[in-house]
Amino acid sequence: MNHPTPKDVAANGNVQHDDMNISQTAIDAVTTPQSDHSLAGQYRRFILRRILWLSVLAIALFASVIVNIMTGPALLTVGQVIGGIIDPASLDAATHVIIFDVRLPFALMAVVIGAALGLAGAEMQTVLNNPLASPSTLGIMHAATLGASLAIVFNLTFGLPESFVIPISAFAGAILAMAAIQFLSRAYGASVDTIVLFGIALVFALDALVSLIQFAASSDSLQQIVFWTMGSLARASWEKIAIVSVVLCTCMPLAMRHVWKMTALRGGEDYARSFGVAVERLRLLVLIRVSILTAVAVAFTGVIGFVGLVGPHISRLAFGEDHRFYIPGSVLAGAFILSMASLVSKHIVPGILIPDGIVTALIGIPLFLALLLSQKRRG
Amino acid sequence: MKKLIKSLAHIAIITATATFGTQTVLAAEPAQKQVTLTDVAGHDVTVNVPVKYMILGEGRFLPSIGILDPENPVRWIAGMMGEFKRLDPASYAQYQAKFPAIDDIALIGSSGEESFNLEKAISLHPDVAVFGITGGHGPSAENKQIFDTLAAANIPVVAIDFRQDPLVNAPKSVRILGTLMGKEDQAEKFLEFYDQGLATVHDRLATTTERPGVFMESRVGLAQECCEAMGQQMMGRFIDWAGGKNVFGDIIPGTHGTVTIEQLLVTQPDYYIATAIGAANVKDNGNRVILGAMATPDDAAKSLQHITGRTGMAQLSAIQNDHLFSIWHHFYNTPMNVAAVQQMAKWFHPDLFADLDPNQTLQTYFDQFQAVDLNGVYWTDTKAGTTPQ
Repeated sequence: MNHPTPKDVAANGNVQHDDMNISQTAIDAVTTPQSDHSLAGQYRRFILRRILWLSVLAIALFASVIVNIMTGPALLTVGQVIGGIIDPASLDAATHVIIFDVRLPFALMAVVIGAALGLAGAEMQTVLNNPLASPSTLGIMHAATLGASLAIVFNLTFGLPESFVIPISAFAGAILAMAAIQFLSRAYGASVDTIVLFGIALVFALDALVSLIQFAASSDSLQQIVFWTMGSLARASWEKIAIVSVVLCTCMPLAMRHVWKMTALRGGEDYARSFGVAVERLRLLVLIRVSILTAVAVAFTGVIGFVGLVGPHISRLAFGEDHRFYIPGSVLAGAFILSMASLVSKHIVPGILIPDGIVTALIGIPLFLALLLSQKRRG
Repeated sequence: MKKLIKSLAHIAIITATATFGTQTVLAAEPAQKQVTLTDVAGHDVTVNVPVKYMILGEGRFLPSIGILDPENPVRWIAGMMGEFKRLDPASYAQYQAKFPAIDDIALIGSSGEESFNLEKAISLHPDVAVFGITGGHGPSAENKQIFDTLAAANIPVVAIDFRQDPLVNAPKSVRILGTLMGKEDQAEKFLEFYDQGLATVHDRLATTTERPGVFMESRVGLAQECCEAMGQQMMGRFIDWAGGKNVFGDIIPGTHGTVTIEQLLVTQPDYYIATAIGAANVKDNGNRVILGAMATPDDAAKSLQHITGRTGMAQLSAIQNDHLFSIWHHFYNTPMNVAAVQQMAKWFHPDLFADLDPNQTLQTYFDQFQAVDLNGVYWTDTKAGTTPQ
């Protein structure tokens, strides 16, 4: 929190100087007093350093996706995969299935789900002013699990194909939970404490209901619920990727429109109010966005925890509190963690998929700790 | 210490039974004698036989009770777990039709180990509790707390097993049930049929070293993603007995693991066997294969054909070569498994077993060793109606 915030800069009047000393500052993580004393120079370095690191993260994500698409039990060469993507007609049927129905959906699903959870977690932590907040804090994921469990146990069909019934029920559950929180918050004030307490009450109530259903369920249904709750990217398909992408591409610009307000909110609610931010309204708006993102992600993959909690922290350690960078950083970090996790889940035991929910933590924790320790060293 | 407590418990049972006789609801049958038998878990259990009432740690043991008393297995049961009706509703309905009293059997739990109601079990005053070795769908005979509590209530616990190591334990278990029920002759008669049925497969396989690669997909349609593969336990074990090689047997450490369709396309197993958890009398079996009691050959074949529509299935050589079969999932937990092993052997080695008729084995099993008639299909291929009844 030692960085000058953009707001301070804006308050300091116009930028006058123009400093070309970019390369040095990019390498040099600490602003040295010798280089450029002007506030504008410092600010430019502040921006450039963040853009540079965002680019590094984006490149790392891109690389992980490429490796994910290139590797698998089929031992296709890089040439075969690239050639196949460019000219699908040249492939034999089995290879075509492997590239277009298995590897690409799997790799891209990891990216869009990770990004959605990263974005949801980042916004959640800010509006609830709580570093432990994540998409599962307010019971949204639990509600999705309840929806899915009900669909499984009561064999609901709604006349739809089975692969969509459970996601739709899960989504409906999550949205209902969000509606309940919105309703209670509007009626009783949307202060952080109220919302978090409602959320906690909801988490426990939903958890108890899920347990009750599991207790009453036949072991067949129980197995299905357990399968579903162990999140898996193997349920990827092009339609699902498209749906999650649409939601993500809708929510991302909306989130970016709020970055200044959200950054102000990090200074405390009174601080934000002094800038004219309608804090309660902002909070409820953001919660709607977060819920939809979470609901869509969970509906298609089952419960994948951890990404939405640690992605934002990684972003915060790397970019600080300026939401212009913190938000895209969280999106990239979430996508990167899940992309790496899906890569590892394929390779721990070649040919066997280890559930992604297990692997995410194994991937994210070292990354998170490394950043945390390096920050601590820097003081 | 454990041994001491156990022996004390046994002494308690012996003295109690010697002092008070068995505390059955009705007066005990005359000519009871006290025997000490070794159950499949290796415990020596002292029981007054023949027993009159027992409780079952798995409702699905009921058909195995029927092996020893094809006239009426239901009359032996004072209480059982509720998973028979839930997991295999079609077979349960067969029993319901013939023995309406099955609905009067007290439930001592639903379908999971944690739902076992110890108090209810004790209150039924059974002469013996018959539990599986492993828990899962019911109380485990290895659960010390349950064991000791029942022992204190003078209810001996006998462990049987058709699931963990069926080849060794299924014959033992049938013998134990025969002793408990005073039906030793029927037990021996069945074991002759059982051993002979497996020996036929075993002896002929000794003449060939050919072991085609087999992929066994467990519980088709349960998970949305492909594919839950069987490891070397449960039904995965049948593959070896039937002269095949489980292609994922070496890499799945436990009972099952998830295999990607990519791995399947690379491995290209010679045979694809799906285990069926759909039932004929259950609406909306979704992507499940329908086999078991009351299933028709047509429904079975259609439901198996239906699963070939999944991503990547059409590119599997096993499916292109019509080497796609399905087998009833509950075979893993019953001495009926002899018929399943024979049928699988016939699939993997059609020439070697050209004259073997697993359908006849199944028919004999139901005619001589079951309380209900054979009415359904227990394995299928994709060609409707070709599976002879």
